[in-house]
Amino acid sequence: MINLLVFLTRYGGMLTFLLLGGISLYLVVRYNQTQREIWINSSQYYSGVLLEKTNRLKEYSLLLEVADSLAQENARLYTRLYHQLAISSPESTPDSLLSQFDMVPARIIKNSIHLPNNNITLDKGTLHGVVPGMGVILHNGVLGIVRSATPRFSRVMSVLNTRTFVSGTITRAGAFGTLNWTGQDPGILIMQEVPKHIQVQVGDTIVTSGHSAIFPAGIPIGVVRQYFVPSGSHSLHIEVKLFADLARTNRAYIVRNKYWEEIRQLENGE
Amino acid sequence: MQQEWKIHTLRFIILVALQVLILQSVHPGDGWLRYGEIFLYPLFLMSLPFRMHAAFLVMCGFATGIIVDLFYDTPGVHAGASVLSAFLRPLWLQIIEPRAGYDPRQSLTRRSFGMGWFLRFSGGYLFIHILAIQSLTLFSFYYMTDILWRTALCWALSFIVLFLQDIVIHPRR
Repeated sequence: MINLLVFLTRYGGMLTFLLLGGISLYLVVRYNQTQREIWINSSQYYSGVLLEKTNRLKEYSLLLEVADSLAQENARLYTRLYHQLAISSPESTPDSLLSQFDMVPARIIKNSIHLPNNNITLDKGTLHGVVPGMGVILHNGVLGIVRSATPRFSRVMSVLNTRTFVSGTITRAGAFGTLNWTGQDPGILIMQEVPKHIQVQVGDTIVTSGHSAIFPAGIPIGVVRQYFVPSGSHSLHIEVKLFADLARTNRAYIVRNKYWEEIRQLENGE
Repeated sequence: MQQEWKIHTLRFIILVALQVLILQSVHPGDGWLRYGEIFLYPLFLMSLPFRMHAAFLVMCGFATGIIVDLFYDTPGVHAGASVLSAFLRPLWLQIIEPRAGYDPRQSLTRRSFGMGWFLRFSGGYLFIHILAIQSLTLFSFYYMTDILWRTALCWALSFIVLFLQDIVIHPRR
């Protein structure tokens, strides 16, 4: 009781001020036309700004979900795109093979580029239909080949791994070769086994050849940076600048081949 | 004590009547000058006893302001301004406290603490009060410049009138 009185003596002025000031403000807004309009307009404006800000915040928290759904969407579009490419290619395959590939979107949860043999971990595994041997691509290049898979994760041999070999085509010349990494510059692959009579130019685009069950044909890899014929060799040594910056990417698509088992059985049976 | 309350009541009646019956219709001119107004009723709140409790001071402000509002047809504007200026009065008194301090028995007038102090006290009080009135009237930061120059105009007019009436009513130093 005493405390209450002390409190009232000390802060009574403040409380009365807040109360009567609030009443005055209410009267001003309630009974004066001009002030009322200003009040309504301003409060609408400020509540609008506030709503917009909270909305932005909400959207931001949903960003991961949005990115995932966009990755799904991309995977579907890639599947259709390669489908289309297969139809329009001159040596078109029978209908049953057209939709041979489909894509599983995945997030890169561990990546390295500095080791001689780099490996990558993805957040999709056997539960999502991923099995060892499948190819992994990016929106602008090739990432690697699945080496092992657990139910929820998979381990990928990066193209920046001296043991990874990818079959590529020089689009302008139509020649095939094998791409491999030397373990040095993480932006450069070396293409070998291209016969030295092939006319190559700096700037030529290299895409996947489709000569395996791993990658569909036509996925961009990089451009020719320079080339030469090593002495005593019958094939070219081509340096290929990758389109993709593997250090900065965090989303990938695992290429699922519908006839994987069939092809493997066939190849192993020989 | 009895005498003191009579003086304050009488001052309240005279000043509010003067404000709403005469000063309300006094405008110094046309054009930009028509925004000039004289507010003398804050003198009542200024002169309330020094020892009066802040809460009661604020209530007196609200009562005075709401009566003025009734005649001005601006509900809440003068009430709000009076509540604010009455609430800030103790703080303002503390800021301009004379070197000798306040004698709680003396009234807050020119005769008690001298001309310089009184001019500062009434000038500052009037400024807060009129700034609050103009802010509540125009009611938007958009009109900031209008608020400021109208405040300056009304403050100058009111201050002159307040000074003159003090000289007239209490001619002796």
